[in-house]
Amino acid sequence: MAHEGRVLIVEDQREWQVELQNLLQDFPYSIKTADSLQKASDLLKNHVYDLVLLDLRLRGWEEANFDGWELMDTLAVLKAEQGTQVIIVSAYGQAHHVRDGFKRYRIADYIDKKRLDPWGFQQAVAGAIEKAYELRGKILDAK
Amino acid sequence: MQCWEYLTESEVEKAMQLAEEIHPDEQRESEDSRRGQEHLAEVEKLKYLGVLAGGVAHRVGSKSGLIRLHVQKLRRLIPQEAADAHAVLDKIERETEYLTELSDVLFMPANAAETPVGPVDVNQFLAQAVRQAIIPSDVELTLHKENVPSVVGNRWLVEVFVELITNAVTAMSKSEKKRLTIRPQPVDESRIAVVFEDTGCGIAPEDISKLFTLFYTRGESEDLSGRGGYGLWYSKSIVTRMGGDLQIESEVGKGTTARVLLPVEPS
Repeated sequence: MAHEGRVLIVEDQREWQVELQNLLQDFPYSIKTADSLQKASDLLKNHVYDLVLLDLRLRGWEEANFDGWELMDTLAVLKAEQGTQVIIVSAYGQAHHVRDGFKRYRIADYIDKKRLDPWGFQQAVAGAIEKAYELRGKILDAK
Repeated sequence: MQCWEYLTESEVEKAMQLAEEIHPDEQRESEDSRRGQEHLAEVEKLKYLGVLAGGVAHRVGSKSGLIRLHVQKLRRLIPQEAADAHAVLDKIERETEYLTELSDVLFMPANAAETPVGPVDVNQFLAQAVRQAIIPSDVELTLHKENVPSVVGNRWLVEVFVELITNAVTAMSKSEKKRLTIRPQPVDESRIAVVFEDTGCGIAPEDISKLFTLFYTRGESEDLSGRGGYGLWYSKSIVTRMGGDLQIESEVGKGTTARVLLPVEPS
């Protein structure tokens, strides 16, 4: 049985917001979307999320623009304080982002939009939410 | 012009002759500067095309991902018995895969430009490329390990090297003698060259200038699905964005030499 989860989708393309939500509609998740860095930051400031699905390029495509990546430091703090997990969902993430994502920020997963497998995506989301619960439990115990 | 006062008439004549002889050098200099300007224009063109291709690739890649999801939804809606409908979906999926691959390729120069650069040992990258490339056993490969300084680059250079090895191997498929020699060598203080020399079929002079054009194929390298025609384009784009260059010389029936020029890491 999947945990109830609070999920934030940070994604600029409307079609992808819809598809990602559709893929998660049969699960007990409450889902919010943000199509810009600013909106995502505002939501993260005022709400607790178990999982953030993060697109790295939030203004279509501009060479060397990875504004989504700018959230990583904020998300690292939220992970330490609230257990919030991150899955990067991107069409063209960079190998160094994937590497840094896993090594430095301990992201839960990386998903390639071009070849997204629905079942794999749902598994990754459920696993990350479970991890968030676990981590939050440990944080609370430590307090 | 005080010096004239100290020269005899014959000496003046001699000086004039010398000046005339110097003239071709001036011409050569202006030729060099013209080539330099042409090179700069070419670098700009490649950069512009790389950015444009990156934008197209991002959209195509993102949309192909959506098409894939929609096809999967249709599969669930169409009864299993409707084999004809599923066969059509198979075809859509195959074409979608082609679009995704195409977007991956179109994105390569942008991808390389976005990847941080650092000091690269070309000997190490060449060894990696040789392991990665598919080289038939009848190809006599000589990889020279030379003591050259580190260059400025990133892992995408391996892709470039693999591409050049693959091209050489393909060009030699019908050659009697199949010899590929790879050698890094210093050019001057600021650059080194990595030279790939094959004994393949060679390229006609009129075709050489077209080699770096996106989607240009010389027939044999393009298969029926319309793939091919981008390897040298992305290779040239990648190395020029790193401050290097890719040059190709060839003689029909004798072979081809590809030179990857790369900037030396400042010490």
